Amino acid sequence: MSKHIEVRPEIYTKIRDFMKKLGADDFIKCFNCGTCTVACPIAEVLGIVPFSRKIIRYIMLGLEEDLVNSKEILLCLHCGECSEYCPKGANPAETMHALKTYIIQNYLLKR
Amino acid sequence: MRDKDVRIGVYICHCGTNIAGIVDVEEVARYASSIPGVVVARHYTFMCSETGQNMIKDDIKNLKLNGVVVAACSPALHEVTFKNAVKEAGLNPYLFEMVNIREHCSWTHTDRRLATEKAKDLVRMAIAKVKELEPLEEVKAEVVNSVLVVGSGVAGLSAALTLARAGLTVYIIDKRPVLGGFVTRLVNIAPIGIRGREFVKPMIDELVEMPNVKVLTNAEVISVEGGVGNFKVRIRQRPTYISDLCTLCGYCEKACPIEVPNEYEGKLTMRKAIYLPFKEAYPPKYVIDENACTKCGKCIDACPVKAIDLSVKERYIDLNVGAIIIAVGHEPYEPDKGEFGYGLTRRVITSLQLERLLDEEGPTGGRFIIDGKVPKTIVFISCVGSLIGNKTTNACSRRCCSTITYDTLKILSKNPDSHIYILYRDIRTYGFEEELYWKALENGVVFVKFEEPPKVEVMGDKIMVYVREATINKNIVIPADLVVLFVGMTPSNAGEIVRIFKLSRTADGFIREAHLKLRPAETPTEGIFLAGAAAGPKGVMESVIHGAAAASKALALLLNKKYILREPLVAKVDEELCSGCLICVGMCPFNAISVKYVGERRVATVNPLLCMGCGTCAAACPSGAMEHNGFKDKQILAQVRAFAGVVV
Amino acid sequence: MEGAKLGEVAVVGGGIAGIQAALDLADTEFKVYLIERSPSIGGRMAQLDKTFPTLDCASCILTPKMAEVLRKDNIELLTLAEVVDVIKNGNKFKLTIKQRPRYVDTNKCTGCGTCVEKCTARGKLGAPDEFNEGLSTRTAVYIPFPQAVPKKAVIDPNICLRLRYKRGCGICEKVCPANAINFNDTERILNLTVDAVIVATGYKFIDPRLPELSIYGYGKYPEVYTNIEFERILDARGPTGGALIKKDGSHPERIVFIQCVGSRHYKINPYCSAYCCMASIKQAILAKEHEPKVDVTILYMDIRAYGKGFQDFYNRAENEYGIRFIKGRTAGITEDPSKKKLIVKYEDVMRGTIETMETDMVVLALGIVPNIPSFLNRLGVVRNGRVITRPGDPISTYVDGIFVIGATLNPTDIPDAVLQGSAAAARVTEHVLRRKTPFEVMRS
Repeated sequence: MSKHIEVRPEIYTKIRDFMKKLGADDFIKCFNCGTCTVACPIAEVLGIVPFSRKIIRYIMLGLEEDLVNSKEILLCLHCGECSEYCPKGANPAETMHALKTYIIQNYLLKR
Repeated sequence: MRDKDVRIGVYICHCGTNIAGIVDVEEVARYASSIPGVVVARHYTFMCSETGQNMIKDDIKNLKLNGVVVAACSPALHEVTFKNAVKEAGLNPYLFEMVNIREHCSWTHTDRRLATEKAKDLVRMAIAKVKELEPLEEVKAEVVNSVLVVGSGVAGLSAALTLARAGLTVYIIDKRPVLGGFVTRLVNIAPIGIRGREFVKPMIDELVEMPNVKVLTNAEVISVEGGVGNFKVRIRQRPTYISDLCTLCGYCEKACPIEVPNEYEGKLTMRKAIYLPFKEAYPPKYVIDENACTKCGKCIDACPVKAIDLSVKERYIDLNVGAIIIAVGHEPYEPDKGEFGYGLTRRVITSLQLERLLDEEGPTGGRFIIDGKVPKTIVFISCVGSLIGNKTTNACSRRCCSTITYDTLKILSKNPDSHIYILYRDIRTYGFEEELYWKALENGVVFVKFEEPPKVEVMGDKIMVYVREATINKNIVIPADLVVLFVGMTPSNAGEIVRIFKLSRTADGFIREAHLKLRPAETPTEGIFLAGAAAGPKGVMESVIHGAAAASKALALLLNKKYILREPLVAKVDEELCSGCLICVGMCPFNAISVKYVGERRVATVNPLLCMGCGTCAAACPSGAMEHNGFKDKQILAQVRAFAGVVV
Repeated sequence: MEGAKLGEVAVVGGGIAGIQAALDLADTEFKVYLIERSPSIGGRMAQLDKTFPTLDCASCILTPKMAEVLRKDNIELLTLAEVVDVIKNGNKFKLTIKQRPRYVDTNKCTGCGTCVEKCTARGKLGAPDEFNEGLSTRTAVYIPFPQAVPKKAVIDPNICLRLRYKRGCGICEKVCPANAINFNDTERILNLTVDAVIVATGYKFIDPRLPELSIYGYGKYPEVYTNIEFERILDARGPTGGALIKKDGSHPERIVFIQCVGSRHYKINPYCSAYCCMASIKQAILAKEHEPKVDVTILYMDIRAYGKGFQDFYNRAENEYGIRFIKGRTAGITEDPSKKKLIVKYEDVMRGTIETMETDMVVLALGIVPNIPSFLNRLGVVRNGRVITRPGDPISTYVDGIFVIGATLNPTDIPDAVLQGSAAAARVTEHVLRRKTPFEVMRS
């Protein structure tokens, strides 16, 4: 069953701890409704869906590969529309912002 | 009734557009008024409404009606309504006949003309029958002011307590050796967080102190006779072998050489054949597992107070009760060996075993460890036995989602470093319990939605859980230290209960209630009520309420009551015609017919309190002596003739 | 025990929960005062066309119970009445009740409806019909709905020309064959002393006009309905006579249901309203039965088919009726005025795509909030907008003799409301019997 990607709880914990320091860890409230995706003005235009719901799933499951290769994180404009509509009162825009920092610090700078 | 004396009123209901949408109600009313004997025929939007009923009542008084036909919905819905209206207007309610032109005409046919013709046929037949009806009087029956509660789980205890507090005599029985039922295996009842054993303890303590309560453990109902207000119940009580002298010293247990898995600890530990189910158990004495015991006698020698007697035989107890409450609960689903890895490793457990692992008084003393290690990555698989698994009820078990979220919080409070994944179909934390879901999320629990059930593979000391995360369409694998199968509720012994009490079951296998929406605590049999998970998956709080609701029904029936009135639609013997062949006696499924002598002649006689009005005897009687009130030959033949067009 | 009563009980609220409690109490030989704020008992259930999961016609199963209330000698029904205060006085409760005038003598009125036919305050001069959720108008003198109990006329003083101007009109008085109209009727204050109080005041819908819900366009687009409005459209007694039509009279080709409107939302109701998944599935099935060609979609987050027979009902909706279930939550509804279509944009979460759906009608599955009467606050059994009950006995408050049931407690469906109604009756029996004869009651 090689086509299954292994979840990595330690990556999740690491990102969550990082986010916590930046005050952006409320993504854990996400119950996967997809409102942020429809609210996002760039998701549809650039055809990068589902955004940012998918990214949050990747963090939760600790799918490092997928996270590092998600161009969405770098494309996000932090307009805050998703946060405006989130029924959980979470702040996906903040999450994207913090995640951008995380990815740059941990992967892009190291490359 | 002779035609010239007949004064019948016919009432056609529109049922909004339910009937009038297909059946031409005006035409049916016009037609009915043309039939000899009909003095008035009306139609109205809702005959069951107050105005509709008043229409009938006024006509009975003003037009001196002596027969009423209402063509409306199923008699199951409104026969009582109209019977009462007829009675209130001063006419004998058994001179009323109801025709079902909704389920039988408008809901089943699409052709307006044909449906209308059929409605006319049915109305004509009913009019013919009403002409032959006779006034009947209800049968007054004495009631026994006591209730049998079958099952001593939360629902049964709740029902028994209410009844006992109100002063009725209560018999509460359980097939197990101890009271308390399933809830005694739970460590925390979501969302109140009380230990199951602590939850039922005050209920049991209060109950067993009451002088009007009799407790029978190890006991099962084997037969029921009679009817509402006066049931005769036979109970078989298997021996417990241990008398009340038992001091709980435990020497017997040490002496016993037999070991079997302990079902009170989710089979995680072993127990002896003689054992104490749990510390708070009632009755407070050791019990012997009949299936495991070899009667070696070592316990007898060990007992310092001579409380054990292995020669005790099972006994039969006959009870006479006015009502019965069925609260036999549910059985948790037991996965097959290999199903989601269950039975292949000790680290795939059911939710029940999880409960025991979280209990301070459980096999690990409340330390959340398995095989001596703290599991770090834990995967919960929900809906096992409910919506997924080898044998499912295809129904939601209602409580698991709230319990899972609650349990994860409990685990995280013990081991904050745990990584918890909940694999789910839908999260169904309904009502305020949604907040538990939110709390679990905020504590870092990861929820993974699947469409196809996950696959579990044991690989050394890791358990690999393969699942397609449906919301991002990725196949993932979770290497887990522990997998918890959240098992659903399945009907407990419902087949046997249904047979003994002559009830029926719904598609999910649970016992059928009288009406799913409005009579959820009653069965279709008068005087037999239903409580708790016997009727379908339920939580502890919901079972408390269901038990009290069933008790309320029994209180209404029995509290301070000496008599109840029963329908006279029962079989009756014409002693002149009866040849005494007694074929009917053997045919009666309710033992309602017996033999009596009129002078030298042997004739059958029917006890109207036991007769359920099934009509079997009337059909079997070769001499036409046995007739059924309300369905006599002349009444039915009048309908047949009317159908054939022979207007009488 | 003919005539002798175990005690007196007030049941506040005449919905299905209150009705069940009152009936059980009456059968157990209590004297019951059933206090209802509106002119008829029946509550929300009376407004429903059909019920899930059996598709029983709601009024067919409710009407017998309502009629039974009227038949019971030991139930005294007080309509148009509100409990303004409850004071605990020893073992008893003193209730102060304000009863609004009906302006119709209920002893004389036969419910014939002649006054309603002739009333001049109709159409623009009329008022929104509460029973039809304002989708139609009613006259100043009116009978709330065909199965109302009591089926008596009532006059709305706010629009009645005679009552407003103290002269003129009065046509109802002239045409009433029973001479039942009484323009001089006045408000009454009633005092009752009872042994126990059961509160079954039900729930309120979340206001779809809340700023947080403005994205759904309710009130802006005429074809956006609340689910209770849609129920009225499906009902044969409703504003369209049971025809599934838009406001312009045409048949919809597509209907989209939106779940969790005001529920599971951090700013509005953080909790789940429990009834709405099944209610929408039911309405979707009914829409299909009305118009087999109509295309029906339900946009949901989780389908909470948790009760008996619910899962089966959900499966049937999907497989037999072809109703489309899409996991996703819309961020807003817009309109294409040229096509006269509503546009719903959502993420299809199971496919990970953004979709835009044109539809003719949108139905909002509204969240609900417990309707807690102020006297419960004063009795100290309410915290943070919720009724506090004993752990282990969810209907008993910490004030002995005060019981709370149904949606007043938390979101509840009909079977649970019925069970709680019966259970509350049992609790009252326990409460009264234990108190009256603490030593003699145990007779074995």
